[in-house]
Amino acid sequence: MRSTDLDLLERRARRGYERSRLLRALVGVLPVALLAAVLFCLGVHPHPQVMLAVGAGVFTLGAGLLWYGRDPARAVLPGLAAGFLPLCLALCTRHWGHMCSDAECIAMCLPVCVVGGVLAACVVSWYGALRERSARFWASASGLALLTGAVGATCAGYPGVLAVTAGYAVGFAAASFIVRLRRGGRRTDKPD
Amino acid sequence: MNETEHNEMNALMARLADGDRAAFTPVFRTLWPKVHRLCLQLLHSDADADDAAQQAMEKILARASEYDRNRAALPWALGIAGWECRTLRRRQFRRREQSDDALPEPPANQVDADEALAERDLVHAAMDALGTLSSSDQETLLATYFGNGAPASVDGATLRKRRERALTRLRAAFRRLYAID
Repeated sequence: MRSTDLDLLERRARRGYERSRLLRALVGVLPVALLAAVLFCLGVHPHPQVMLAVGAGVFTLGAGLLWYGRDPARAVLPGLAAGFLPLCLALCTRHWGHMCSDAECIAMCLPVCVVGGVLAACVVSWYGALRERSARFWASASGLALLTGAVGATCAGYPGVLAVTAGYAVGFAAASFIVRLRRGGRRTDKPD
Repeated sequence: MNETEHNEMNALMARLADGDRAAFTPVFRTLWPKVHRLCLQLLHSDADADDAAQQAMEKILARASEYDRNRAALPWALGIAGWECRTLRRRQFRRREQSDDALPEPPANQVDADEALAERDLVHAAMDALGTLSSSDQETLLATYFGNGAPASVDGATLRKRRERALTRLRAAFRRLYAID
């Protein structure tokens, strides 16, 4: 075969490679679409259009990360799992989350969003520190966790999304500090 | 291909499976001559080998993401190429059958020609695998299947055990070379 034919074949094979990766990525994030469809059908979200839009964002980001591969692809599962915490907490709080006394009734949506964000940050930090992942992993997992959490946090409107983000930032900073401390401690423990 | 090259190939394929696009061209350039040579050996025709090798390369690289890093990359890729050759030969055989429907029946020896060709390829492949075994294993298997005579010092039970062990090693070598049983 001539080299031009080989170049053509290589380009064709490359297209096939990318196509198959994309297909696998779409299949990989299919559960996210199913979950969004179930939430939409159950009507648990007060703003279904917003939920679908943010869900589409999660789907696209997840598919993009899986298609890209390497550390960003490895961030998809922990990112989704971490984001699932604020999502569930926010949706549950919307139904049962009022702390009422004789004097007043406090809506728990925003505090729960903050707690969900902190928990999501803890999950991502724990997993990332355990496997000693790169900065790309942290960025991808954080983005996906925040976006997934935002699907539930939009129950409380934009303040809910801000609350999840703030909780995530606080949790992430705290977890990073602890991880750095532990690593420093391990280094000093090592014999010379 | 020596062990270092094997390891390099495995590492490149693992990188490609992981999504490292920089490994694509090295994998392609390393695999192409080997896949083409296998297709030529199996099909005995330049044009058919070109077709089969091109199809095989596209399939191998499309399935690169499925590559299991615990397996050797080259036998895995050559297994796909071997399967592609088989598919091409079957397709050609079927096409020939259809076009021959209107003609009078061919002589019996022509009908069996493809089977004979396939059998010859299998024997060639088995002989290649046999070449990787130790000389004592080769001697035992040749004595068993080609009647070259068993070593005089060996009794029946010992020969039987040796034969079983040699066959197990031959199967393993065949699997390693062609990734098929």
